[in-house]
Amino acid sequence: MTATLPEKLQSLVDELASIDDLEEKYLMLIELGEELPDIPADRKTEACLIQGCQSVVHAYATLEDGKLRLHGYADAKIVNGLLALLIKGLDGLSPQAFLAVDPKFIERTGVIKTLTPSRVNGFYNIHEKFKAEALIALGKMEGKV
Amino acid sequence: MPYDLNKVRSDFPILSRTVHGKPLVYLDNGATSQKPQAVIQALVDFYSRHNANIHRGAHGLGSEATGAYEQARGLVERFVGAHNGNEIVFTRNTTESINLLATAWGRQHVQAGDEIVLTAAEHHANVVPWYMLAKEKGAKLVFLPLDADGRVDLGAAAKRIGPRCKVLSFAWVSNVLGGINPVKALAALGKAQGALVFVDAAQAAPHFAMRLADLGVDAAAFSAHKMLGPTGVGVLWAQEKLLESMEPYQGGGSMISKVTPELITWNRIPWKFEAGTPNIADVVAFGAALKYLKDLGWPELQAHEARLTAHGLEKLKQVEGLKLYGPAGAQDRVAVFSFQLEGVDPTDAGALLDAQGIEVRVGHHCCQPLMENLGVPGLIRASAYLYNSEAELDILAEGLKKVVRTLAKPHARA
Repeated sequence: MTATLPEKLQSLVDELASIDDLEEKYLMLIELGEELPDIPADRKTEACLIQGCQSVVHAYATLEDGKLRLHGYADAKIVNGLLALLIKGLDGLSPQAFLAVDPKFIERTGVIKTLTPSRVNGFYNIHEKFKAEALIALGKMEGKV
Repeated sequence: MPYDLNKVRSDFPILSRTVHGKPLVYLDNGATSQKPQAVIQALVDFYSRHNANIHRGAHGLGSEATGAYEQARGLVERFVGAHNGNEIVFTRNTTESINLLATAWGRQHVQAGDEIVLTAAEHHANVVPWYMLAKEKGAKLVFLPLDADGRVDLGAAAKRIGPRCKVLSFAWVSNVLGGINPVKALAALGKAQGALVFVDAAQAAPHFAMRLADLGVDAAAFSAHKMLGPTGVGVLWAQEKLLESMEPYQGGGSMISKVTPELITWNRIPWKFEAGTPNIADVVAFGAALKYLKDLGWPELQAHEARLTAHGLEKLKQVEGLKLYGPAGAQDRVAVFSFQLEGVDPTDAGALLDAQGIEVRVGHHCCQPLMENLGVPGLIRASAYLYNSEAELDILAEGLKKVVRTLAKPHARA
């Protein structure tokens, strides 16, 4: 559980964890989310829809030059912030490096214990979606070799 | 006697705690109420001094426990204005009461082609058991439309409730819209067609003294936990004749009179419907809750809540972009406020209010048909109760303004 995180993610997690006030934590997540570009309309499909979220969340990954690129957008701003945390912290890693990150890092931020179970699941479901795509990407890469 | 809100609040230990470092503003009473010390103490006393199984032990403790349990039934009987204690069945909650009725009465009487008439604002607890019955019997569910205030449209109901109506089942007070339905007028429409008329009083019982026997309905149900009592106790009130005519819902100990290999006979009502060891301690503590409410005074409680309703309506009107659902007039509703904030996802509002110590509910409120009817995915609901203050509703309104400010403006990270 104390595994080292990729540098960018570690710094975001540290920043969130250092904020005592819950409102300020949420504000940071909202701001992170606002930096996310919306995704193309043709990606807002059932295939990219995250199940088990109270609000509408789309997420998907692409493989570019052996790196996993993460994309997504959520209507609700706090969930969008959680999505942004994953994307900003883990975008551009190799599929192997992505798969090495335990999503339980979210517990260290101090936001998850205050959220409703459906949103906690929402976060893990978004990560699951990226993980599934990372595994597919890995399969493709290994198939090439 | 004047309503001493400070004294009332001091009776509820939980109200003095903080949430995320902020004073607790508990406005999710529609989901469950907080408990006064008298109720907590009743539980402690029961388990500390009187605990035994009931209706069986040939010993002193058993008699004490049985006495306390049946005394609570007497308090419920007086609270609802029942003819006698035989009309009071203890269940786990309102949901179980409705399942009991839909199963025990419904299976005996509902046939293919019959109509089970509900309203468009029912809680899932008053939809799903009837849906299951309708599916089993080939009966049809009919949903009465609402008027612009979100209450049952009586004109439309009069046209829709016809000779095929076998069951008419509706909420006295909507758990989402807070509107008070015209129970007597609606019940009369059902009775005129010979239907069984049931009232879901889960959101009414906490707020006003009820005279169920005077409403012209056959049965009603409510839950202890929404009116200061513990979780795990519900009440089914039904006319004695109706209960007598029904087959048991569940089989087991306590509900039988005699068991032989060849023949089993049922116990008398209400015990015929209370199979197995009941939730004794929580029923006893519910008695303490009813006593607390009675001592507080129902007229005083209602006057306080009417002030909260009027104040809440006034304050919420001042929040920009807030669209309130349900009756516009304070006299037509209880202090339950469901609303949307323009451009704000309800889950975000719920989290940001929670961060300020303000506890509300967001989502579909177990009323998906109503949400579809209103054309919204979900709503924010603030529901007040007897210990809430007008100042807390001010905090809610200010909290909502802050939510709007936080979510409306773009934030550039440094």
